[in-house]
Amino acid sequence: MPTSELAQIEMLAAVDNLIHQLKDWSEQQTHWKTAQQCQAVIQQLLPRLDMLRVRLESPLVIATFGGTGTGKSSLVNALIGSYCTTSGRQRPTTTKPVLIAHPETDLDRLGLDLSQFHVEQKKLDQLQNIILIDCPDPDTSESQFEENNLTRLQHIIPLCDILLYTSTQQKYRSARVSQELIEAAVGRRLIFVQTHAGLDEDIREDWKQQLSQQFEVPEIYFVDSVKALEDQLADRSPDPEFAALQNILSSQLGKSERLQVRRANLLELMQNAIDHCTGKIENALPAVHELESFLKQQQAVLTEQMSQELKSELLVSRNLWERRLLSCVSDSWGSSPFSMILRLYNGLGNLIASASLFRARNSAQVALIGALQGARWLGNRQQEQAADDRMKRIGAFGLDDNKLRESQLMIDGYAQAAGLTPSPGHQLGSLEYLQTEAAHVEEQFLNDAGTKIDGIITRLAHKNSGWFTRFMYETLFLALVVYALVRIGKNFFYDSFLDESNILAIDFYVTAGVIFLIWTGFLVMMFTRKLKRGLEQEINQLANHLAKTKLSHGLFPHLERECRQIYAQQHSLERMRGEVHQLRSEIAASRILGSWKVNEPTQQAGSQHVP
Amino acid sequence: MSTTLSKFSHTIHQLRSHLLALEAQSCQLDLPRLSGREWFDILERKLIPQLTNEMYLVVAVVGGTNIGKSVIFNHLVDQQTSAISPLASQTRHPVCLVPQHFEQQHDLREVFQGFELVPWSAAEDPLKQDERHLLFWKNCDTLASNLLVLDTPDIDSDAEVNWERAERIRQCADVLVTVLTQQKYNDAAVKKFFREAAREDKVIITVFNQCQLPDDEEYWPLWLNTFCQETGAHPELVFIAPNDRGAANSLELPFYPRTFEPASADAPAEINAGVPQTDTAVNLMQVLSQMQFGEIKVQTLRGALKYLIQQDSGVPSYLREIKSRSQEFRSAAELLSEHELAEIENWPLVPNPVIVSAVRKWWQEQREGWSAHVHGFYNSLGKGVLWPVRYLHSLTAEEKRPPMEVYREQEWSVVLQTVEGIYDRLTLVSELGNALLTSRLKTLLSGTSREALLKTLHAEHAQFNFTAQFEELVDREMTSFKSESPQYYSLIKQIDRAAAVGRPVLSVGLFFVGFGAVGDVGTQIVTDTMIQSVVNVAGDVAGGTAATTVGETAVSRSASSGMGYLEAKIRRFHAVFAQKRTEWLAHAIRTHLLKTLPEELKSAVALPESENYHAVQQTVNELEQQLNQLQITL
Repeated sequence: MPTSELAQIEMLAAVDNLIHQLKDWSEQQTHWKTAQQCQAVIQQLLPRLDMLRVRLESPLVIATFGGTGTGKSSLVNALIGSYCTTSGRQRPTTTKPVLIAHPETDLDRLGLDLSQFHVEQKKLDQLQNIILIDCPDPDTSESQFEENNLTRLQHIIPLCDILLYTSTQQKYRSARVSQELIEAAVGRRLIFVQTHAGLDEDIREDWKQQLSQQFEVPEIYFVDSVKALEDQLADRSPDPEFAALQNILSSQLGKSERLQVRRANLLELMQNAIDHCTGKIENALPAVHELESFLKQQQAVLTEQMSQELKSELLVSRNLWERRLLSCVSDSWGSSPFSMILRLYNGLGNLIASASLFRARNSAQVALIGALQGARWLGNRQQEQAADDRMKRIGAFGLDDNKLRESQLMIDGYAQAAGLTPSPGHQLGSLEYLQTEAAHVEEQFLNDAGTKIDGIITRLAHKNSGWFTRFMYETLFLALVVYALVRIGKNFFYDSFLDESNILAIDFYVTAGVIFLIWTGFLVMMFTRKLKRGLEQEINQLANHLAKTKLSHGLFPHLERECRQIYAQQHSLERMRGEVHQLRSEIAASRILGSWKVNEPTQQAGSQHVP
Repeated sequence: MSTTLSKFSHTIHQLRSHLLALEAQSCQLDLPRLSGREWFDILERKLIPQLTNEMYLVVAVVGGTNIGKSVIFNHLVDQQTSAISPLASQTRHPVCLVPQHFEQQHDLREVFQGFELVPWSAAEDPLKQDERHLLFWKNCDTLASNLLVLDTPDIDSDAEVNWERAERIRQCADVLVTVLTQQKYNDAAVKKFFREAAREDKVIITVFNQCQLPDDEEYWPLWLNTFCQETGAHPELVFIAPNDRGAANSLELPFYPRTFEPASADAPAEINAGVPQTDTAVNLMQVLSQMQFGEIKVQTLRGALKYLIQQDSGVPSYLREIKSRSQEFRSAAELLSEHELAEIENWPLVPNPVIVSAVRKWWQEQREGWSAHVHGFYNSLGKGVLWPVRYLHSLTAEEKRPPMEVYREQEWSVVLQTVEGIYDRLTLVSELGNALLTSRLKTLLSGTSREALLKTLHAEHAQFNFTAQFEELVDREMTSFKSESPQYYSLIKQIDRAAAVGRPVLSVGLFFVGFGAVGDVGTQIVTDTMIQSVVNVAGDVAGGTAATTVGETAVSRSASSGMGYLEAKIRRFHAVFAQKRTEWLAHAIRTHLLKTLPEELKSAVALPESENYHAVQQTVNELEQQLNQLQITL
């Protein structure tokens, strides 16, 4: 296969792929009003693109376009070299458009409603590649609503591939025609012709300058149609300028050019629609940004509030800290005399505290009991009084109904302003929904806090119970035990046996027991105090850290999702926009055909926001 | 004649001042401004300056772009005053030739309102690119006195500012030299321009330019006839000029007079057009100078006056516009006031113990002399003895917040619910499609304004000293009660039992605006005579003994039975306090949430009844009468 053909196929595939992407984009589910509107635009466009693709190979449809009296019909007559469509001096001359085609051209394939036209079939060589339509003017009609020349014209334009834009010295700056041309030019190639060469002066320079603001203008032809037709009828060769124009239409728009034109038209249509949509979305995005930043702000406030609350509660719950620290140390120490004592104390403490502990309504305490125990605790409790209790805890956590209601109120406003319609699944207004959401958020927060607290406890325990400390406490503890044992042993084995002094009375054991209790109590107390060293600082750090960590979602997860989706949609549209512009620039600018000028997408558009 | 003119002039000046006052008053209706409306511009630019005794005629050459307006103007004044160019829309500013000494007798700025006047220096002046509306003027001694001749920019090019300048000239002109060509006579923009001119009764002189003579001799009547039918214009004189660029550039273009009478409606094919017997070119200036100045002036002034009072396009249309817009506002207001803005089912109540202690406190302050001292002694003794008990109690019980703080929180919750309800309702209303409300509500409903509202409400609410407010209320109620009813003592005696008294269930309705009927239940309190929010407190009683109305009658009726008496009194405290609080809420919602909306709606609704509106209407009627009289006398 020749490379040029391969390139053609590649191009076609790229265009098809783009259309496919566009189709997918327009079918995505969204609750954002602007996106819905844009999707509607794209869905309107898609059938037209399909039509163009079907017609890719059929002859080009060329229509005249220009103000009344600029000689559209005369030009058509001159181009085919015979009187075919009425040209005249009474205005407007043409009301029903005239369609001129070769008899062998299959008109049905074009998708034209032929009853709209006066159809002329001429067996002419120059009509083999093209179909000519002589259109009514756009500038004598004043109303948009009734059937008139303008509305007739607006029906024909979408079916054309090339517009033959005629104007004169009098008309080339006429506002009305220029406006209509801007509307009509999108998705079409243009050929510019100044007519009435026999009467008027050459104003092509000024005209080109004016046109260049909005169109690519390769060349403007300056012709005298009346003379050209007379010349042809009298078998004279027409003047070179006219001959050039005729040549383009009859021979240069052959098969290869045809594809080129149609593809350029197709891309232009897509580009126009996408540009329109991106513009629309860009206009609507600030409101979404506002919503998003408010959501973020709410989330920050929420975490801040929860971590402050957690901090103050943690600082108060001294007993729990001690017990956790002790059990951690005794676990790591394994079985040694002092650790057994620690365990004993801890166990006793737990026993006493357990009753009050399980009544803990306090979130921080739950976190403090530890992830594992806490989970068990939660699991047990949830069945009994889950919802009720959780609400209470949330209330204690600063997330009371009033607060929830306030953020609900404000969020509603932002969501409405952004044009987000509430999805049916999430009844925005319901407080219960928000309460459940709040409970989730809090649970997640506490889980996170629980793990962190475990970390703190292990760290504190390890830091403050090194081998030296352990050795010291074990020694101090054992010193008393050894001393007592030595006393008892000495008394039993030596004194009572050799010295015959009395065996130690029960009083001694009672005293020893009391001293033992006091001593061990003192040691345990000292030890726990040591363990707690740096605790306050750790808690502060923890609170600060938690305040900074991002929750995976805030109170309004579906709105957050919605925002993310909006950005994703916007980005995919931007990407398609870039692609379509790329493809369009790959199609080399035509030497002979003019077109609508497109503004290249600006770089900063859409890129300032990364989801 | 001069008295008639001055009479008209007086009425017109009056009308103008009334109109300006009305416009200033109706700014919130979002109507298009007066200037820019054709009839008002005519009033400003033609009637005000030209209703004087010193008559002059304004002749302007007008038409589409690049059809030779400047060429014809130069021929008219027989000098190259306005530069000509083969390119389109080059004449950007009007040029005026002024007779000798005219500017000393008239203020040219008055004559050409809306233009900056610049003395002419070169033919290229009008080609200047300038955003200002300039008008170049030049003395001309060959000009008949009282004749001003102008060249104007085009009316159809892509430079829309040119249209505006041409329109301004058209508004003050008397005679329009209408330049037409076969390409332009049927253009939408051209037809639109001359349709207005015809409605204002301008004298139209048509010059059909660039004719292919002799071929076009048989076509121009057809073209001109189409033009006349489409625009309603009726040319006084018709000239045709050949397509001859050489002659045009050297001021030698011939203008051939033609007779023309457009086809009537009954016989559309019959166009009376003809060539005079001796077909010689004429001097346009001579033709102009021979015209009947007086008659033309009267015709165009009358045309302008008629246009001004025309039902479909003049002042009456403006008045109708105001009325219908005001009607829209009324329906918007009705939409809002149709239902309750919010209904609060269960307004929070101050706990009964608070009432009891407030009444006790009041009673304490009422006691005088020895009795007060004794009671004070026992009270402090009691407090001292009970202190340890209380302290212990406070230790065991969980920390208890002051009841008024609890109340504050409850009330805030209700406030939030109310605000939520109102927002929901406003959202609903804004979706009903009343464009006026939708645009206004959109800003009220946005997130930022909600945030601001909650902030202000919260601040206001947190600042209230509920205890003081409640004590003040108790003081007022009890004092008036004491002076009216000797039985007040029995209330004090029983007050300890008040805690057991059932509390009423109060529901509150908030209404918007005083249009149409407001809800029908219970007491209505209009918080302010000017504002239009209405609070409605309906007290429903849980115990079921007393009626919904809480007042003296209920108190005295059940006074015989001790408990009923106490109950009624306690209920009154609740209701009056709730009333006070809801008044605050209604007021806060009105000022912070609805902001200026109620006033805007109200003043917009009242506009057609306003003095200015009537004054304008009256002046228009007067003008109509004067015009009718004029027609009779003529």
